[in-house]
Amino acid sequence: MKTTVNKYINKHISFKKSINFLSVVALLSMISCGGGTENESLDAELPADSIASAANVSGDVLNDLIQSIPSPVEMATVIKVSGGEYNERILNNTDNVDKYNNSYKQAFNIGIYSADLGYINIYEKTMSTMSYVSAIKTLADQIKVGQFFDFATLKNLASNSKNSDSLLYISMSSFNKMDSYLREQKRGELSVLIITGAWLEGLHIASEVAKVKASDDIVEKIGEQKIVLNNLLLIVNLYNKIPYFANVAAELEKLKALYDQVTITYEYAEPETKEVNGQLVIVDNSTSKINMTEAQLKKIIETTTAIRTQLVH
Amino acid sequence: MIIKKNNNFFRYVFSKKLKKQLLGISIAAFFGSLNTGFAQCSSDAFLDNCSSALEDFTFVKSFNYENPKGGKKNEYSYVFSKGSMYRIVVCDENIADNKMIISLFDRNHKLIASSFDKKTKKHYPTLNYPCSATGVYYIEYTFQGDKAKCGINILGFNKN
Repeated sequence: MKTTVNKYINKHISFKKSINFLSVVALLSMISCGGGTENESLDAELPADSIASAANVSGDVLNDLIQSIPSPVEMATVIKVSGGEYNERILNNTDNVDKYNNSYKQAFNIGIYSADLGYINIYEKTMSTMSYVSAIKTLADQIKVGQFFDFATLKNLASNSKNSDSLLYISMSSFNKMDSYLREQKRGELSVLIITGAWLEGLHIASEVAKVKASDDIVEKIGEQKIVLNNLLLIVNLYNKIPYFANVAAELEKLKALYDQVTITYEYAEPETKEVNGQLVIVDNSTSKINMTEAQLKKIIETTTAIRTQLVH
Repeated sequence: MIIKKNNNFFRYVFSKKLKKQLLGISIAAFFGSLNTGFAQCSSDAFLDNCSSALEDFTFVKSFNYENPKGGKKNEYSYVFSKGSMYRIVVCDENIADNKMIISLFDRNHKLIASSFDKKTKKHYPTLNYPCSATGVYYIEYTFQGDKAKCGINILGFNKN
């Protein structure tokens, strides 16, 4: 954790924010020192006031980190553009929705299903859209954010595959509103689980595609998740007093150990800008390179599959 | 890629794709009025209107700014991917001398570009950024002047 925090300080946030964040971590660590009982269930929930205090203290840092996590739709788009075949069997079956019987599992699997929905929409498979929207709506209602999913509108749009752009826009903006609402309501821990689930499912889909055909784009995309995972672990660890989060963090740490062997090198060059038809276009002359061996990729894929299986079932 | 798209702007305006997006956005504006009571720039209708500037970029996130108080954070970060094109839409209430300015910084906080050109005093409504180095990027917003400050910043992406 210490190493991760140090890296984060160096790379991602200003000194002032770092102090703020370290205070949060220190405070939460002190709170965590009491530990849990040996028989503590992974599903046990913290008293609302404990969660609220964590969310209050870390408000700005939490918001910043949550917002920095890329949308799973980006991953789905890369998969499609790189020629990946659509495969619904790799998605989480919507029949599983009844298995998620506490708010943490529900939030996590809203994230899982949201990434699946993004994948479905990118491939314009609107026939499958409704069962996923329905699963998300069911789980969202259970954690009292179902009002952000306009089921009727989405159902209308899903009736025609030509509406996939609108479906994508409305579903994405709905998730955006839901996330903002949860954080405003001091329920940021559920937002954290939603984005963690969405991120893991995106990586899972990419991994499944890479098992069949590891195109350069997909490999690059999997490799760059090193950056996202580091940010994600920071926010998951903010709540590691909650057994469910501690379990998620422990699983993600397995991936992090593998990603620590992956390096990203940068070459900086001054950017340029130009105006094209009244719009400002940036010409980026810097480059980055992901250094990841086939063996490292294979391990990451295997571990992703194992973690996703553990957390979804 | 962008140059080609912009040359085809008028074709795009009358394209089926835009009609489809406008239909979806209108429906969203009609049905999605969940946040009533907020200022105009925080409304769904304002967001939907501004989102049209995304054109064929996929909506990723939006950030509302409404009268930010002194000391409040005016920056967010996002992980951009090499090989993807990003569009940042700058949308405000269009009050003269009170425009929103967006600045994009790289992972080392070096300025990449700003929506306001200090030399020409020109404001650009969008920034198009073809990313060639994966990493955390910072997007900072400021307002000119001291009138009421209200605006939305929308992030979209595209991959070809």
